[in-house]
Amino acid sequence: MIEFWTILIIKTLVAFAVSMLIVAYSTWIERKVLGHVQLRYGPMRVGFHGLLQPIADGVKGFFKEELIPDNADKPVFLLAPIISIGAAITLVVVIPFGDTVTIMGHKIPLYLADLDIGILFVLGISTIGSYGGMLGGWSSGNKYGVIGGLRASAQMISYELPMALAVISVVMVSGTLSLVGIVENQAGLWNVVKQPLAFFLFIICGLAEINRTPFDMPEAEAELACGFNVEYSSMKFALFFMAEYCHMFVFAAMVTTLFLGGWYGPLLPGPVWFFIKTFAIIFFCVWERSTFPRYRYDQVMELGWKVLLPAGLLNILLTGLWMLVFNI
Amino acid sequence: MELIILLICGGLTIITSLLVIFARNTVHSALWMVASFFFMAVLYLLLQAEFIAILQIIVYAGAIMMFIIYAIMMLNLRQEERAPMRKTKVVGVVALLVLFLELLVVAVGRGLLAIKGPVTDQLMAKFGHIAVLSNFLFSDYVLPFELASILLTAGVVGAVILAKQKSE
Amino acid sequence: MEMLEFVVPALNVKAILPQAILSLTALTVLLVGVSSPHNKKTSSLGYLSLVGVVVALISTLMINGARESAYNGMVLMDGFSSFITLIVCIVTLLTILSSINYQRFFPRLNCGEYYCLLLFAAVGMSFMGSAGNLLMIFLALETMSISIYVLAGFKSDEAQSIESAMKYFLLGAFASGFLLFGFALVYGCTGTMDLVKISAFLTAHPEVIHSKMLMGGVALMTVGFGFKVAMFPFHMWTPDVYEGAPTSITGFMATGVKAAAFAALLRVFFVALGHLQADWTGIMWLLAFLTMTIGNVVALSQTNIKRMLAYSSIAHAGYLLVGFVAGSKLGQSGILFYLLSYAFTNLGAFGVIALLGRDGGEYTSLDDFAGLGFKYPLMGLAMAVFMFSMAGIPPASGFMGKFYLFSSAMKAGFIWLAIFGVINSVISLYYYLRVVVVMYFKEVERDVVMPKPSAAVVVGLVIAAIGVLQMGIFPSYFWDMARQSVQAMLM
Repeated sequence: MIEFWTILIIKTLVAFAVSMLIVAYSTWIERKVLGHVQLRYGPMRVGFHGLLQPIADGVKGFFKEELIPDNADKPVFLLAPIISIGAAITLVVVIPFGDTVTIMGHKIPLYLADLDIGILFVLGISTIGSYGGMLGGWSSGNKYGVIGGLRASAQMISYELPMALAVISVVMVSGTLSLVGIVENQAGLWNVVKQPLAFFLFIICGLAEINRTPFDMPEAEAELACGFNVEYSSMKFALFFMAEYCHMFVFAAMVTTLFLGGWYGPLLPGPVWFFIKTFAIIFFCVWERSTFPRYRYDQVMELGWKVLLPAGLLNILLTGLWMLVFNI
Repeated sequence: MELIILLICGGLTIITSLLVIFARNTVHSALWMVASFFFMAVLYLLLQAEFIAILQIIVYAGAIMMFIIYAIMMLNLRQEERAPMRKTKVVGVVALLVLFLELLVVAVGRGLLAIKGPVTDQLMAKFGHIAVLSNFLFSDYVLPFELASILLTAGVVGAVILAKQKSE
Repeated sequence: MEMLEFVVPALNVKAILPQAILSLTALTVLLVGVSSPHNKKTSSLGYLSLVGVVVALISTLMINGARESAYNGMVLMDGFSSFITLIVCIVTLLTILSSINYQRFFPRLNCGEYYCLLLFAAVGMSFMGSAGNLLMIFLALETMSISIYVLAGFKSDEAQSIESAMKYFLLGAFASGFLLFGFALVYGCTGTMDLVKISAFLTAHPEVIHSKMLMGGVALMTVGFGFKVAMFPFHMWTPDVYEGAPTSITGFMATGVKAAAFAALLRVFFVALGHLQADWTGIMWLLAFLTMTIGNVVALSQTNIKRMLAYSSIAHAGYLLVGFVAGSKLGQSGILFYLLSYAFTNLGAFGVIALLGRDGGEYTSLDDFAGLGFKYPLMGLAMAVFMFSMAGIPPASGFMGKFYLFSSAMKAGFIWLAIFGVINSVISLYYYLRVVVVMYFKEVERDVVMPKPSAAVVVGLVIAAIGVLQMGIFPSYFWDMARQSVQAMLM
């Protein structure tokens, strides 16, 4: 019993530390890649090629002055960033980093929990996460904030559906909702081959869910002066910031798990493959940010409801027919 | 262990539900409702019904409450106007007490009969909640499942037609 | 890991054939309506749905006589369900015929969604007649209700129509809540939602029959069903909803919903909870008496014909409850016969009222009918026939319906209830005949011009009138059918 708890606690700490590290260095990757795409260097001063920049930023966040606007709704204003980061970190629980390994005679699975409802858990908790932005925008009592919050919620509602539909077709071919089960099902052939349309849909909807360009409506700098987090400062702003990158990490991990075969790959050990694929997706997120312009708001809605939703349904229909014809 | 969680979460569900009613600020009220749904989801977990628990979070705490909060924000309802105690409220409280007493009578007076259906904790523990649920859904309950889809279609068509602006 | 045994249920198309045809028609109409938005001027959507309903009607007659339970007891296919489906199909048929004329003047109604929802409501109604499980009953009831909430508010540019939909929706949702809570309590008591199994459980465990929990469940269910059939004291919504809804829908609401709700009420109370009959009879006696009395007395003072028919519909619910109180097979057959007769009568009456609607305005005040009897003799004659039938004057079917209901109450020993029923019929004569009197003998105050009706609605009214007279003059065919249906009810 004690052994069980010890392993569990160690695993939790390691998973937490690793994801925080990834979150921190995702910001570095973003700034570096964006810089190089735009033919500049990005951060260079702190550490070798700015490697210590995230840590410096963190320290800066702690020591900056805390501002709470006068007509803010204080409890909600404080709660919003906590919801945002809390939900994002909770999602790390179900990510399968790798298969079972044996360390010092203990068989240790490299995931915190293999839930029966794994993928639904991800969808559910990420919904909760978007409350953060919405409430943050509303509670700050700033009109830009409110508009950002409204956009966040509308966008979330519109893109959650096609995302769930894309996931359903993956579940159909895998026959399980458990993330570990879905990975194990891809030992032979990755789902990206079996479900190309679902992969495409998931990527698009995922970008919308994590508010990346071209769907970064809620915090469009040019029109909304940063949107929902306009009134936030110091650590509370940093929490929103971290939540955003944590979401990006979870999104990348989900794409890896659902479509790219998770920890499977030749030669290298499982977790290494997992991180290679995950960072490839993170790189993709940064890459497309520097390449695509932002959608107009009504276009975002139209794309979600009139294109992605029918496409998702169509994909389910095709998958069903496929399974029926080939009797899988 | 389970009893402790049950008591804590059950208590929190009741407290947060009360706060939904008594909170003056409509957004706070809605947020307490989200919290209450969360604790209710934990109660479902205690019954081994993890699928229903996560649906509670996705559908109620996530989607439905998101719509409600969205509507509140659009209408910009910040502070509820303080209305004086009206007769209707007294009637409401009395009706509430009567209903509560009725529940007590039903639950305590005669005692629940505790008849077990085919879906038991053991069955779910053995196969997992989802397997049992989907098995029932697609065999015994396939017709209600289809009828529910007709119901939802009717609902969607109705919502669209009522909300549609005069395009003619 | 051990796997659960997965048994795919047998696909019994026959058991759900009419409903399946109606659903498919609904979806087809919806798609056709969306894909061809330019046929606003024609009535092709109406005729398309008409075809579907006729096919469903024929299929109902074809499967009539089969007697089995399908889909694990979810659907009970027996004479009773066939009879209810028959009523539903006739109701939908007449409603569509009336709508085809009505929509010429209210173009908002001429869209795929209107007919789609109408057909979905019909699917819900007929499933309420054939459901063998509380879950199915609830889903069917909601399918029917949600479609009708929307249909009531279909003239969304008119405040009254929206008010009607809103009131119906809010109160209806509340009533559904009661119903569902009642189902939950019954399920908690018996451990099953299958109507036949509930009855079997109560036979095996007689100590449960008088438990407070089951009683509470039955009481809550009565509230829920009572709302749908407009039973006192849950009738308050009726006049406003009936008045505000499009006239073509009002008749549908009055007849179809009543038939479906009574079907479910009979199934639940007699099949599942037959053991409690002694307990509910007393309270139902009182409710039947109050429902018909309140409906009739308040109808006396109405000047708007739609409101008057709304109160009359409450009164008719009271008459139907007389048959329910009687509780015998005779009473149940009487209910079925009366529901069919009421469907013809009421849809005919609302069809005539809908004839006067034109270019956004409706003429529903009683004074608007002044002099119409001589101006439009055929229309006046039809209205007179329907009013006679409502009042229960011999050549029309309403008389036979009341005769069967009241005589079943007499035979079951509820003589006073039958007497009150007769007294109420006499009271109702006043306001039904007033319509006829106004049509023929009152001075014209406002000149109301009836637009030329389309062929469809004429056919509809002729069908309704023939139905009324046929059931009134040669009732034995329909009466035998109703009796056989009840005899063949799966228990």
